Formats: sequence, structure tokens, C-alpha cells
Amino acid sequence: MRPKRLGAVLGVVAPLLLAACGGTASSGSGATSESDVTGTLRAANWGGNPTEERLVKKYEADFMAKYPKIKVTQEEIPSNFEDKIKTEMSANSEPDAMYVSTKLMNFAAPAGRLLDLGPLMDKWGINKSDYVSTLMTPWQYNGKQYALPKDFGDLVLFYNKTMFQQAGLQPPTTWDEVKSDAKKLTTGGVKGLSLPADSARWNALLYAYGGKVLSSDGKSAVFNDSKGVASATFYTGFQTQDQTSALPDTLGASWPGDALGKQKAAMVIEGGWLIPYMHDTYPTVQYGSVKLPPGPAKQASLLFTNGWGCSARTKYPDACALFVKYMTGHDVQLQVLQSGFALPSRNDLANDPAITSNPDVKNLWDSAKFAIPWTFGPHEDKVESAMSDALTAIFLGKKSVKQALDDAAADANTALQQ
Amino acid sequence: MATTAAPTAAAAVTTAIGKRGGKPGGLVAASEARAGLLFVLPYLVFFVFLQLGALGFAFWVSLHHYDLLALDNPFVGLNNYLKLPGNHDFLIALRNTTEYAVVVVVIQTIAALFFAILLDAKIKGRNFFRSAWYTPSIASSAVISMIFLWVYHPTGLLNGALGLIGIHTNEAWLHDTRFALPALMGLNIWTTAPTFMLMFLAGLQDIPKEVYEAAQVDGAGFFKTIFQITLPLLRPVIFLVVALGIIGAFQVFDQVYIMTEGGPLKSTLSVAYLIYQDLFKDTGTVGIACAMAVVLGIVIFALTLLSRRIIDTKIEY
Repeated sequence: MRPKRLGAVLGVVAPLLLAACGGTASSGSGATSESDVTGTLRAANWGGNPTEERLVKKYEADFMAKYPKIKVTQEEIPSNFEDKIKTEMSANSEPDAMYVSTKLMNFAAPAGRLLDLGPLMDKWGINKSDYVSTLMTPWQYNGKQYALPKDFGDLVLFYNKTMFQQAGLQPPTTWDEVKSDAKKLTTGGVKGLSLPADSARWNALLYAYGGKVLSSDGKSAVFNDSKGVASATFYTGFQTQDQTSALPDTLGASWPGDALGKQKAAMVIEGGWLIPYMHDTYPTVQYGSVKLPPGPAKQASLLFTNGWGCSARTKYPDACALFVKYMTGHDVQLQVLQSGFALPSRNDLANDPAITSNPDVKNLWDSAKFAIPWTFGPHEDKVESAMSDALTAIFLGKKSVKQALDDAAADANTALQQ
Repeated sequence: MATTAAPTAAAAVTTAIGKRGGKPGGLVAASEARAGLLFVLPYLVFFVFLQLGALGFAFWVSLHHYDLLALDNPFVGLNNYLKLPGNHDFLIALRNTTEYAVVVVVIQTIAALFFAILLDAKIKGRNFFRSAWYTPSIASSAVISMIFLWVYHPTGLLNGALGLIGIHTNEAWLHDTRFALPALMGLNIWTTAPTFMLMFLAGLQDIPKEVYEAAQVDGAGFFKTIFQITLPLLRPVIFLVVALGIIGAFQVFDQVYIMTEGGPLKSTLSVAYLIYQDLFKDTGTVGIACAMAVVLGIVIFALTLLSRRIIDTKIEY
């Protein structure tokens, strides 16, 4: 196949040229001491915001200061991170080290494109138990560890303190209280809640009701069973039955956090990203948080995490493992915590004042114990959007809850069985 | 807009090749053909490797269960094609795209023609209006899409303008299943109609003055002249505009990608956007995406031929 060969040639020549330019000593796989490890690493991260970019640069500079024989070049990918890495992997020109999202994990690990970190963790003294245990599972496939968590976020219930005080209410501790509080707090243009048509919120309730998104083998959608219907009925019922919730758009807000900031909604289900946002955009709004209340089956929240991993093709696996160790290590994770963008992945920071002295951060941190990683395998994009579309259809009154979930499950199954 | 360049250059290629095989004998003709070929060579190389080659590769991929990262992509014959009629998303996308193409092509062709005839008349400030109307076509579709995100925003320009004439609404146009696709249609018509207006203007100036004079002598009025002289003589240009319109509309991608991501509820999901999703956002569906691309290509090709059959009949003066 001629065109394919041409593509392959183009794909191969580029990295060869790069490699030729950067060619240095071998990875030193015989090295037994960290200071003997040499290597040149290309490390890719996505562009979050200028602050995060600056921080990653700083961490990498600190790493090179600590390991002078290892050189790291930052490759920032402004958007469509997974698309770029996927095409680079197919052309065998991916970076040595990279951010690993659950999406990236789900297509790259089964294809054997990520480095199994297990043996290197033993070699370089990286302990699994140092990390928050729920954060480790998204990076495991067939019993191997393909990345280590670099930070995480999860969901809690944020509420407007002033509104609760004026209504003489205590923060809710059960979903029934959320429901009755929402009724009392809905007045005029203000809604008790703002729940979006987003599966990344409803799924927290689905899990609390004992439901699941996919069957245990991951081959079929089960979110339309009785637990799914009950939880979706409850979630959408705030808007469709009680009229105590409205979509952010309807409230003139761009997202639920914006509705909380604009004081158009008294409660929202969001994560740690809300804290710096409120600080910067709505500094005068008084808000607090509680953990998501337990549902009929259990207490649940959703866990969103990203990690650092290595390419299976890297010439410097030892250097890359040390890099991952450093980026997920105590020093960097402490700075992650202090920067306020996300929560750190390590247990040894549990008693840090930045967590214990801030009740909202403490709630987020404690929720990680029962939060469930939000990830659904190689077709997760279609599974997630099928679920979100179901919520939209229910909110718009186009379908009943059961019908919407059945249709969404059929769509998801089409994707899963392809 | 890259689509406009391709057919013209492709036409040049056919002409050159046609000459070479066509006229028999003659040293001059042969050297002319060689010179012609030399001139189109850079494009020819580009075309053969990056367009024809990519096309062939896409077809080859469509016959496999293909994943960008898999080491082994098994041959599945026409399986990917046979799955398409059962692919819910593909059917929705095909319906959306057809609806989009019909509305956009009809309205933009009529609008372009209308403005071209208007601006062909000797009115005051004609040059100003010609430039003013052409302005929307200068910016890239990505930039226009960003601008229209704000136009269609609940507190945007459109609702502001509606407020001025007494219609107060905070409709989120792009988040409403009823309005999202029409909103994209409107944006596309607004952007591409001026380009086609230019083509019509050029076409209008090609019509010999004598024909109009003769019509005048025969006592034809304004409308009679338009429908019996102008439109029939413009047929080649009308075909060009309709064909380019069909090609562009069926390939709609950037506006969907930037403004709606196919939502809400897949109401703006276009075939090109679905192909992109299956290529990059899903796993193991590259073969299906390529099968969709081939089908889309065939649809566009067939419609272009059909419109040629209907519109571009021979002109007799």
C-alpha cells in the first residue's frame, strides 16, 4: 500500500531527526543509584492556564536541579491533548513522559503504548501505599500500573451561606433535606439548586443509589436499570417536578459555579475548581460546603484524576520513572495543594494545614475515600455523551426518564459493541 | 474555502492532459502540452500524493477494522459499510447534513444572485456596497464562528436586536434543539453568499450587451429580461455556485466543531463532525469513519453530477 508507506516514512523520519539531534548517552539501565541515571525526556502536558503552565515548568526545572544528568523539555499541547498524543503514538513520535488522562489511559494502555511502571516502582522505591488508594485504580489495566496520579478533584455540595442563614436553615445532611431546603430557597429568580444536564454530576447519585454505568465486563450499559431510573428521576425531578432547580443557562450563568456566584442558585454540586473561581470572580459571596449526602445504597462522589505516565517506547525508562516519581512526589504535590488548582494525590499530605484548616478543602479531601473514578473504558466519550443527552432530553420534556435512559443505553451499546 | 481552489486546479489538470492526448501531431502542440504539464506539475504532485493518495488510503482503511494504535487491523471487507444503515448517529448526521445543505444552497444561491443583479445595476455607491457585502467572506470560518457564538448568546447581539423591535427574549439559540441547526445555516449563508455573489457578478458581466439591447428592442420588461435572458445565460455560473454550495454544505465541520459540538441532542451533528469523532474520540472506529467519508464523498459526487444534468445544459444564443 503505497500511501501508507509514504505516511510511515514521514512518520519515521521526523522522530529519527529529532533523536539524532538529541542523541546522548544510553539510558544507563544498569544504574542502581538515582544520581547515576541519565536521559533526555520530552514531557508533554496540556495547556490549562498560564499559572499551571508556569508551575509545571518550575517543577521540571526543580527536577533537573535535583537530577542534573537528566534533561527535560516541556512540550505544552494547548488543546485536544489526547488527539495529538494519539496521532503521535500512531507515528511513533510521542513524548517520553506525558500527562495521562483517563481517556488517554483507556486507548493507550490496551494498545500497549504506555510503559508498565510496576518494575520501575520497585526499582526506584515508589510505594503504592503513598498514594490515595482510589486514585490508583484508573491507571491499572490487566494488573499493571501505567501511570501515577498527579492530582485529583471530586464533587461536594456547595451552598450559599447567606441564603441558608436568612432562611434559618442548617446545611443539608440527607438528600431529603436537600430536596426540602431547595423548595424553601426557591424564591423569585433564585433557584434552590442548579443541576446541569451532565452525566458527570448525575452519576454521583447513580452510584449513591447502588447503580452502575457499565456491566462489570464493561461491554454493555446498565445505567437504565431500576436504580438508574430512580436516581435520574430524583436528579431531574428537582427541575421537572419541584421546579427548584434550573439549568445554568436559564439562570443567565455559564456553569453551575457561575450561578452560585451570581446568587441565582443556593446550592450546586461541584468540585475544588470552584474555590479559586469564587475567590477570583465573586470574592464577596459567602459559601460553604458539605459532603454529598449518602444515598439509599451508599455515600458516593465522583473522582476526576490525571496522572503522569511514560511512553512504552521511551529510550530512558529509568529517567522517566524518576521523573514520574518526582512529579507525583511529596515536594511537587505540596505545591499542587498550595496552588489551589487541584488536590494532591498523596496520603502524606492529609494533615497539611492547607487541608485541615480549610473546611471546604477538607470535605473534598475526605470525599476521595468514597468517590468513584469517573472512567468508562475505550468508548467513554460516547457513553458519557449518551448519558448527558438522556438528561437533556428529560429536562426538555422530550422523553420520560425510562425512555431517555433506554435510548441512551442503546446508543452506548452500539458504541461498546463496535 | 479550500474547496474552491481544488476544482479549478483540477480542471486545469484535465485540460492539460486532455490536450496531450487530444490533438494529433504537430510539434508546436506537443511542446505546448509539455509546457502546460510543467506548469501544473507542482499541483499535480500535491494532488496525486496528498489528495488522490489520501483518498485511496481512506478507502483501503474503510475495508478494515482499524485503530490508529493497533498493531493488527484485520480486513473486514464491506462490513463497515453494511453497518452504516444500522448506525443511529450516522442516520441522524446524514439527515441533519441534507437538511442543512438544501436550505443553505437554495437560500445562498438566491441571495447571491439577488445581490449580484442589484449591484450590477448602475446605482450610487456601487463599489462601496460591493466591498461591504463581500466583507463577511474575508474572515476565516473559525473567526466567524467565534463571533457568532456571541451573536447567538442569550445576552448577545441577536437578542439585543430583537429587543429593539420589541421582542424580548433570552433564548440561548445554540442550546435549543429547534434553533441550533437553523442558527448554523444562517451563519453559513451570511458567510458564503458574498463569495458566490462575486461569481455571479463576473458571470453577469460576461453576458453580451447586444443580447440585452435586442431584448429591449423586442420590448421585454425588467422581469422578462431577468427570467428569459439573464438567468438562462447565467446557467454555467449557477451550476458552479450550486455545485460548490453542495460540496461546501455537505462538508460542514468547523462551525459545528467550534459552536455546538453536534449538540444539543445531536441536532447539529453533521457527517463530517461524526467522522471526526469516530476518528479521534472513539477507539477502533477509524474504519467506520472512513466508510462514512467514502459514502459522503459518493453522495456529494452524485449530487454534483445531478445538478450539472439539471442546470448546466447547453447555451444557445
